[in-house]
Amino acid sequence: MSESTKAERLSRRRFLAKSAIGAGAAAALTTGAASIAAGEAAPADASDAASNMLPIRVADQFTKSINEAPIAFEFGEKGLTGAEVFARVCKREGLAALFCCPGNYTMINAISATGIPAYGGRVEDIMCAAADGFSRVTGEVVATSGTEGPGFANMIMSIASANRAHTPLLVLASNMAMSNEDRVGGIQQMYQQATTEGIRKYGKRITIPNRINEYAQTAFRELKSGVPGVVHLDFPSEVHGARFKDPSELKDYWEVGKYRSDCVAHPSAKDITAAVDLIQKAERPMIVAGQGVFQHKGWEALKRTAEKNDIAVVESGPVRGHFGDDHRLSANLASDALGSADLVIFVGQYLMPNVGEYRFNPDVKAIRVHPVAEDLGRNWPLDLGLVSDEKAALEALADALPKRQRAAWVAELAAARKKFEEVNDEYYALGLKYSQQTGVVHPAVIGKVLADFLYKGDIPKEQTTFAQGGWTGASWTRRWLRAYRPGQMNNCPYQYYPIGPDVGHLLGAGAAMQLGTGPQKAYQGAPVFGFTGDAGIAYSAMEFDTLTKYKIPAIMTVYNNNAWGMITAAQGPRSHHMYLFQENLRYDRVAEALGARGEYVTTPEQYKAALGRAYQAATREKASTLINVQSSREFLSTQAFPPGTPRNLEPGITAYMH
Amino acid sequence: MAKPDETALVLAAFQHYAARGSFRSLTAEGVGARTELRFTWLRDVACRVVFDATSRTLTFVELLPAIGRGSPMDRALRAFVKRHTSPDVPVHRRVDPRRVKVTVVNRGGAASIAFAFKTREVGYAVQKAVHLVHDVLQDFLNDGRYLEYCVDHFNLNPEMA
Repeated sequence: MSESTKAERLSRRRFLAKSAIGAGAAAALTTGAASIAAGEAAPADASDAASNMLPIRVADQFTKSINEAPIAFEFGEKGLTGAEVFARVCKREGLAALFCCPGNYTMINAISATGIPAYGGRVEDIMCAAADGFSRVTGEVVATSGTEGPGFANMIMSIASANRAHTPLLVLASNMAMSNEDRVGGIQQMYQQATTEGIRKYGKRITIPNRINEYAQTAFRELKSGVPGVVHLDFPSEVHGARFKDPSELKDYWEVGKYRSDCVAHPSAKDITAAVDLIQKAERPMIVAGQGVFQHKGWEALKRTAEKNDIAVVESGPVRGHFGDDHRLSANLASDALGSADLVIFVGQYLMPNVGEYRFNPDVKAIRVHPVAEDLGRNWPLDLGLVSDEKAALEALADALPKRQRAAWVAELAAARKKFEEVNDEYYALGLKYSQQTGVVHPAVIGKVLADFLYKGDIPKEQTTFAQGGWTGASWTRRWLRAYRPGQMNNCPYQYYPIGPDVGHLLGAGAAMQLGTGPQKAYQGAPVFGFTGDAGIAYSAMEFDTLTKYKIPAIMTVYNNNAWGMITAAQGPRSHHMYLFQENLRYDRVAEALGARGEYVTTPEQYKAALGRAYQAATREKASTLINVQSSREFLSTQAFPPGTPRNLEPGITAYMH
Repeated sequence: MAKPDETALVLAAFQHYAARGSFRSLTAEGVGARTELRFTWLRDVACRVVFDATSRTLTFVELLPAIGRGSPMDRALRAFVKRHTSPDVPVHRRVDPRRVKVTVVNRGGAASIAFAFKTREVGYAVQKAVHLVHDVLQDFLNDGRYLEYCVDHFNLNPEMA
């Protein structure tokens, strides 16, 4: 216990004592866990060992706890704590969910008590990634929390990743007692704000108790205005433990409309006229629809604009699906057509590429729509910059543009998509051949089999939300995985490229599906799928416990090639050992040991069958499965197995940098 | 049209790309009918272009180093360039061979691409040359088989491949 005990109503000792009683009374829960490997015989003493093992189960106390009725915190004689005041603001602002590990106790307890969906997991960083993953597929403001020094420090990778993805993520962390500062007393002391400098939109250590409400309001003003981003607040115990009997004791205790505005920038008529003029002069215009289009819910306006004037659309950013891959104007798969565009219209492209990083030609003209003026002109020279909310700009363009057909351009897009698919077919044929030669599964085959299962089988192709992680394997699978509706595809490592938090992103997507948040509402309860590598799974496998206890049906494919993805960077015999894992490791058994299902496969046929079993278990039992697909690092060799790894091209389906 | 005007037009065209943020550190130096331009492009690729006003030829000199003459990569490059002068690519991506003759020259294991054009075609030729070389750097080299080559010769960060 690291915080001022005076301010705490919770004693860890008392909590643990109660937990032990609860666990003792808990009924065993059948998890459906089973690790399946083709041709694998059970050890001779397996049944004896099994008979001595206690079953993996979810405690009654867990189920009872998540079914508790919410509390409406009201001022009164007893008063509200600073944490409860803060939680009230979160509830009023519609905070969509909280993902945390225990620590910052008063705050997470208060937020959960209000009825805001809360998920507690095993590793702070991965729960932070879960929050990021939740927001990426819903567009909603989400929170994450960890304890002061160590827990907060553990979150840094995923905070930085969320920052690059411009996720509206509220990072909450307790921070000891001010009365203990500079005394080296107790544990876990760390000054937090300096640590998130450069990886957040706004941050503040709140030190004056009666300003807690004011800063809660400031946090949501930052989270919900302009370009979204990370907000980091930390609270010493003097703040979250303070008590307030009346709102008048709090500074700036105002209604929502008085401390922030939902008003957004709209383009001027002059700018729209200029944009229409450029579009009309273009033969082959293309909209780059970034995450701002998704986060500001502009996908209908995007479709209307594109269809009215036959403007191609290519997606960019951490989330895909706001312009479906199957649309006749989609350039997501039309890599060859990118260089043909003579006008590009960046809309909601929050991280601008440098010239040359996007595959447009050197003469392409550029319009950029951005919610604030400060970023217009950054990295890419503009012919026209528009300060506007994305949805507002697209609606204005849709209204102002004349109807126009661009048959040649549409035909070129179709031809480019066809060529992309033909290359995929060639890669798949190669992958099959290599799989047969080696007895393990090539990543091209993983992509194709997975895509066929998700989009060409019994599952509606729009249903499955996907968390696309991994590294070298992802270079293959990205080519097959599709997005047909908003929020369907999370490009987990987008831009910052952290290796590992992919189960967190899967958990976040699964929670969004479980809750039916935002665009996931139409597919509420459906299983979620993900992809990661054997390097990545090590960082986040423990969250299979979290998936299982919250009954989030999730299916994660692990591309197991026995090495770090950058084994290709090993430049000499003395360096290889640092890049290698033990071979044929059984990550499926790790999942099984955590109460989930595990599958181990070495052939394409086994993988396909495993997907079917996993899906059945997910839909019938809400069970999660880790499918460990045995592959080989040798497939990375351009000499032995050309082309080694396919190269990405941006923007579009293979992109991950911008 | 007089030759000095063509040189001026070539320089103006290259300066246009510098102004658009494509070319950096553009310099030009002329001796007689020969003008040499140097600039960096994309991932700081050092480019050297020679314009010979006498023959109306613009050459991207030693654009792709360390390619053996007749090697698979050399043959693939020639095929790529040839395809871009054929109806296999849309007209706006194509170099019209009636207006500009494109040649891949491999001397000492370094491939250069030369664009020889007819009178009054300087504007068209420079634009097509820049676009085709851009396609070579962005598309031709964007192949898994050339990953190590790009790391070695084109400043590619292997983690951004």
